[in-house]
Amino acid sequence: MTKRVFTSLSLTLGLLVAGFASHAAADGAVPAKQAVQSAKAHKTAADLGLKAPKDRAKASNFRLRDLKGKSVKLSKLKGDVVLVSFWATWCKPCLQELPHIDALAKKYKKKGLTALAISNDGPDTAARIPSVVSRFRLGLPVLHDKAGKAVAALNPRGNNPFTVLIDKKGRIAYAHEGYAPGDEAHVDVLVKALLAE
Amino acid sequence: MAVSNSRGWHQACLLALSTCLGLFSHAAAADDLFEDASIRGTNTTVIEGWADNKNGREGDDNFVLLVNRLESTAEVGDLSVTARLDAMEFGLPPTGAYCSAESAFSDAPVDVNPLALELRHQASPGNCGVITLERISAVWEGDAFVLRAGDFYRQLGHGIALAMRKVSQAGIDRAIRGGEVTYEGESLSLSAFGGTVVAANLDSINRRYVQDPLDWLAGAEGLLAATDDVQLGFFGVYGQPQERLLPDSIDWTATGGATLRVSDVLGATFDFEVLAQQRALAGALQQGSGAYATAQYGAGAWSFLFEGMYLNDLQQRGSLNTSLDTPFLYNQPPTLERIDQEVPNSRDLVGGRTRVEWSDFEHNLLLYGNGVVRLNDPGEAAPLLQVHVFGGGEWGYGSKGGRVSSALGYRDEVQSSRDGEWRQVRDMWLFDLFWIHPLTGDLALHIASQNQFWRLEGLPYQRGSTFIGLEKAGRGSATVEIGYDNQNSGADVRQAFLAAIASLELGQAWSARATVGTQRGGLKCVAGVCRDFPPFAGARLELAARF
Repeated sequence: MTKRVFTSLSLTLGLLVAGFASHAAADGAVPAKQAVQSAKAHKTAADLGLKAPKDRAKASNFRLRDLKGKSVKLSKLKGDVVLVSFWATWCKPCLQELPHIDALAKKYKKKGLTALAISNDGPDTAARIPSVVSRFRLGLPVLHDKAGKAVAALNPRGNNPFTVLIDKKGRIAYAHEGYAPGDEAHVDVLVKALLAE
Repeated sequence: MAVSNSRGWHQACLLALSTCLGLFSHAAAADDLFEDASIRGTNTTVIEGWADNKNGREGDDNFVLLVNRLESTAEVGDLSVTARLDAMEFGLPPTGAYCSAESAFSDAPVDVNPLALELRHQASPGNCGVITLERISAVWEGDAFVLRAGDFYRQLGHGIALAMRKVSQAGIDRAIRGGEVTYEGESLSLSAFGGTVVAANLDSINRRYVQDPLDWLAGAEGLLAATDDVQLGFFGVYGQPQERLLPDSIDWTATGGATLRVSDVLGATFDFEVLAQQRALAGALQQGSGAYATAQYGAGAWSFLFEGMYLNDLQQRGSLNTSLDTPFLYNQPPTLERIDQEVPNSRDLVGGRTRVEWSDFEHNLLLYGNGVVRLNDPGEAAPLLQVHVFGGGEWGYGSKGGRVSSALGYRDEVQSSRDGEWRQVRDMWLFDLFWIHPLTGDLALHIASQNQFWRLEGLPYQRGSTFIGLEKAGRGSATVEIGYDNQNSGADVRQAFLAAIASLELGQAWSARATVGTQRGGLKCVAGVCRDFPPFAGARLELAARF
């Protein structure tokens, strides 16, 4: 009987947390004062899911190395808006999305955006990372998360592709799993909104 | 393990956890730090109703299962604490072994695991279940040092010596529960780690409970970026399984290795790794060795990848996985293969792979060819030779992100017998298609099809899946999945499958995915890990919440 109570409590806790999240999300989805209009879609950043500053949680720090061994530490990017894109060489939607992420990185680099492409390829497919980088002529830093530490920090469900936007104070403002054509326009609106904060 | 010892360990773990939480609370109490404190997480709930999946087996039909996974992270200052709570609850349990008195879900577990931190739900005729604190870790990040206590993943080099990665899609998730200390300089990083191996106890694929192996692992690694283009590495790992082949003899494995990466040598990049291993099994000493190399070269529109691997009796083996009835393997060497291919062994082989790509950047077109040769167990009586050749292309078109890719390939496996004759074991043709076509607004059509046409010792069979759907950016998708698999036959075996899948994004915090119908099972390889998935028949709802 006691153990049944524990099971029920655990499941109830999960549902309560989810309900709280829904409530918090509802608060966050109220149009924020800093809404930025997209020329085409006329959707505000809040409409697209940008969290209000009070609802943003701190992003866990991680350190990874790029393909040349240079260390990149998330906490040192505080002050910039950071776009983290999780991908893998075997993930077709990821390969569709990467050029758009790279284009965003180039477009807003001088305005304070840092984009990171984090590959969570396993040992079986990691050899193809450099060829994907050269095929798409990616200019943004490409990091290899061999042990899944960044995944554990920002993408606990291990989805590919998975996009995270972190504001200038190091807080998670937006997270999205998957990619469909048109998502890049949404991310563009969100990046502009965060840069304007 | 004796009850008194287990209680001591249990108390030690709880004390450590309490200390972390206490530190967090104390830190959170300080005004400045509290401003920086936050908590976030993800909760995933899966409800499955299984009908008769017609896989020719009894006891795994007509049941209801609820799986919940709650992952949360609390941060304050430089300290973060992460925990994952998993629960699996059967309602209307199947007649199989899941809820029997002898199963691991029962009230009286066979073995007490003091490090598992779990609660067992009381077995009853109506239902049974388990809640387990699957993962817990605390990380402190300083300027140059990172201290980690609890559960963590770890890979050394290219994974040939050690690869403990999060592979939750395939239900084989192992982590090290212990401690790790890392020094990170600009060009030098050093790390040391040690602990015991814990598995993801709830295997959501087979719906079984997996006992923690509690094997010991310890190691160290150093990485030096000597110049902008040269990186050196060295590593060592020691493993000691809990299970012994002989009770009086400790089994152990010690592996050491080095890596070298050289970039921008006339446009080429080279990667090397060499390893040596010594093992003691049942009192007998054994040796192993390995080497791995890649060369990548790009010139204009052309790109070349050459990959080679040699493994001579090299393995990082643990105790028995009670769900799969095979030993845990703590390494995962490169396969040289496509991600969806089965790999017979990763212990004894020699092989290579060549991939050539040609890109027309202006027209967003890529053509490629890939060839693999693997000789498995080369020194044994019946080595298996695998040859796999495939090629294809990818083309991006239009201004809205349309993309089509296709691949065609052939695979042949032959095996030598004692008399030196080679005979074909099986061969396969494969055909893949992936197409995303933007429609009006944010709507897009997607088609993904994977097909394999096999001959196993002369007997043909085919299997594959095709997904056809519509997706709307930022909203969700609706998909139909058509599957087929005629490897097995019989009155009670389904060979054709049809399912409808709908996904919905509800703002920033919620996403939902519903599946109704039947889905093909069989061997599926995800991220290099292959599992035999049971076919599905019924309805499944997955809800994910982020907070």
